[in-house]
Amino acid sequence: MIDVFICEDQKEQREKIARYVSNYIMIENLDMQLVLTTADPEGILAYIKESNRPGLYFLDIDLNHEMNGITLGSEIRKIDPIGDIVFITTHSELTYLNFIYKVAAMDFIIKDDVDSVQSKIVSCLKVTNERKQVMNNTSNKKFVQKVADKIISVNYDDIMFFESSPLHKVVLHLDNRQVEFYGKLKDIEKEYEGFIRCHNSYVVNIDNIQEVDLKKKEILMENGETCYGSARMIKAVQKKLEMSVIE
Amino acid sequence: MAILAFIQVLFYCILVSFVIGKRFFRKEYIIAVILFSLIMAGLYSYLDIFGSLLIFAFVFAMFKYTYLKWIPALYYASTVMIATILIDHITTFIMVKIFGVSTTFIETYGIISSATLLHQFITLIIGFIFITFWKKVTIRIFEKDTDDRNLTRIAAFLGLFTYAIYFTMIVYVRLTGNQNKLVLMNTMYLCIYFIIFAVSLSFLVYTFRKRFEMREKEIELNSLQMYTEQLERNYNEMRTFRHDYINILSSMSEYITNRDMNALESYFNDNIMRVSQKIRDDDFKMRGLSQIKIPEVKGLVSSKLITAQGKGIDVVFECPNEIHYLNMDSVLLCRCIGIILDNAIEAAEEVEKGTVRVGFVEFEQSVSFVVWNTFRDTGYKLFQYFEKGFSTKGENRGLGLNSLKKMVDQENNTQLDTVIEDGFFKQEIVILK
Repeated sequence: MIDVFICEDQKEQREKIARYVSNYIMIENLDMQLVLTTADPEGILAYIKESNRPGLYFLDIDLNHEMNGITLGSEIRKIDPIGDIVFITTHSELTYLNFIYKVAAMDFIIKDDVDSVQSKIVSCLKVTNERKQVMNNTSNKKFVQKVADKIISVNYDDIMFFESSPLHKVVLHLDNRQVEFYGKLKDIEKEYEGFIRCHNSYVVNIDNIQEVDLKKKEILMENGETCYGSARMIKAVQKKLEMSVIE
Repeated sequence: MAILAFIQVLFYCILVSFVIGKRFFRKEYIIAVILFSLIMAGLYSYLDIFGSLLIFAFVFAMFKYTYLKWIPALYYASTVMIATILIDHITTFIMVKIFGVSTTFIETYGIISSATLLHQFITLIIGFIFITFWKKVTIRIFEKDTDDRNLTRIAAFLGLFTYAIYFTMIVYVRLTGNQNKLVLMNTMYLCIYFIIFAVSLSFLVYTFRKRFEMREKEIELNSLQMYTEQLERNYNEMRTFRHDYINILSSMSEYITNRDMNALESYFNDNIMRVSQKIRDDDFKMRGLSQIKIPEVKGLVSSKLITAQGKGIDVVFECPNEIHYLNMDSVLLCRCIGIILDNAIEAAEEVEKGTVRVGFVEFEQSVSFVVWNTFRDTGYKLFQYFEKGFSTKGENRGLGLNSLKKMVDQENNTQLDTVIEDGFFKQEIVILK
């Protein structure tokens, strides 16, 4: 069961959105319930502190309250890290990147585009519903790192290798992403048995190796990127690879 | 010997005339030169090499008379004296090596051999070349509008000092030939030279830095100017809108008093909706710029984005919180922002209806500068974008991600996050507070 919340200070808008939501849940017979429709952000926070269930939140940006939609969103995030947050906003209040980076918003609905509000709400309900089913099926083997307020969370399968850079930073290389965080290769090695130290400043993910060139001391990854090895350490990689082939 | 001295003094004056140029050929100059040459011809045998001090004084007087200022006169006079000493040595060298004659021994009383004439002639040619070249190099220092008075002072002092060293050395060798004392003197001169070198070097560095800062400030000012102009345009648009708006309202009230609902509806759809659409499209996209309170960042971001907008790219900027301070070296920060925006704009230009989204996102412990842009996906992998000298438009164009990464690596409080996802190239610089 997913709890759906609506926080909007304008009565007409609030009732309209509530109508759209409850109608769609009823028609499609979704495993969801509209638990709270309010103008008071504190109400939502109080509720989810008790319930401790993932939710779907439709939040207005301008709430006529000391808290605005974005701050409410980040407060919700602290309690419910995996819930879906959708912002309802006007064109002039739209701050897309902030929605995404600050509260990992799922989507946003623009009030001014009167005609599309309903279809957008419906699509959000659909996506949340589908996501829930997918979530139940996948195991979350994830590599998680926190840098200040930012959480880096990636699947182990996607990791190519780690590279240390000066000033205690580590660069994580994925197929489509390169991201830095503070850490030590020594600690990363221990996270997962597939992570192997192949060089003083490299830890490679053995699952994504395509080829090891012992002569050049280079490791070619699945995505074509090259990871470097040292004479001493690259042999351990080779050995481990051979072992996994035998298995 | 007297004639030789006469020629030598004349020769100095010719070199001086090279420096002064047309202004030299006046009556008073010519008379002074001839008079002085005659006096020197008479005195030379008594003065020996100290005569060159007198020549120095005369040359200096001529420059002072021409330029009316002490410092340039001192500088030019010392330069000419140094030049003659150097050139004399060079000529002697040439005479010995090429013509095989040693002029110094041919000079005997009353005899001016053709070799000596040749010597003077070569000296004159080299002198002419040297002075023409020297003038070109140093002319900037003494241009009339130079406000760098320290520079001219240093140049004059260096010139005078160098001449003093040359002169004392020559005198010393001529009079005593004492090697030990010469070594001591050399050491002292070298030390003084080194100090002067250090002082002028630091002065030079200081000047360069000042100039660099000035250029940066100028760029910043230009950017802010652009931003102000954009604001003015927006304001004017707003004013026309307000004017229109009153017209619209009055015509609407007309429809309402007549109870003409159909006309009112079509009027609303045709006019008001369209106007509000236009305002939505244009004005709100750059609204966040006023929230940046760091002038150099505001100037840089606004100028880049306004330029991008001019290129037909859909640019959206957002910054919901005021940004007063970013914990990163200002120059480095601006370079990073510059590279990211240039790359984004260049990539967005390549696709039809390119989009660039730029924003500052403030967290509790950090601030992120985020840029998303559409790009032409040619199948390059992300790591290839990071390779040195990479560009989708052939080799060595602009500063790529490689240099950006190097810059971010220098800073302790920043991390780079680059993702290619959903058709967007996404860059985030996290700056810890």
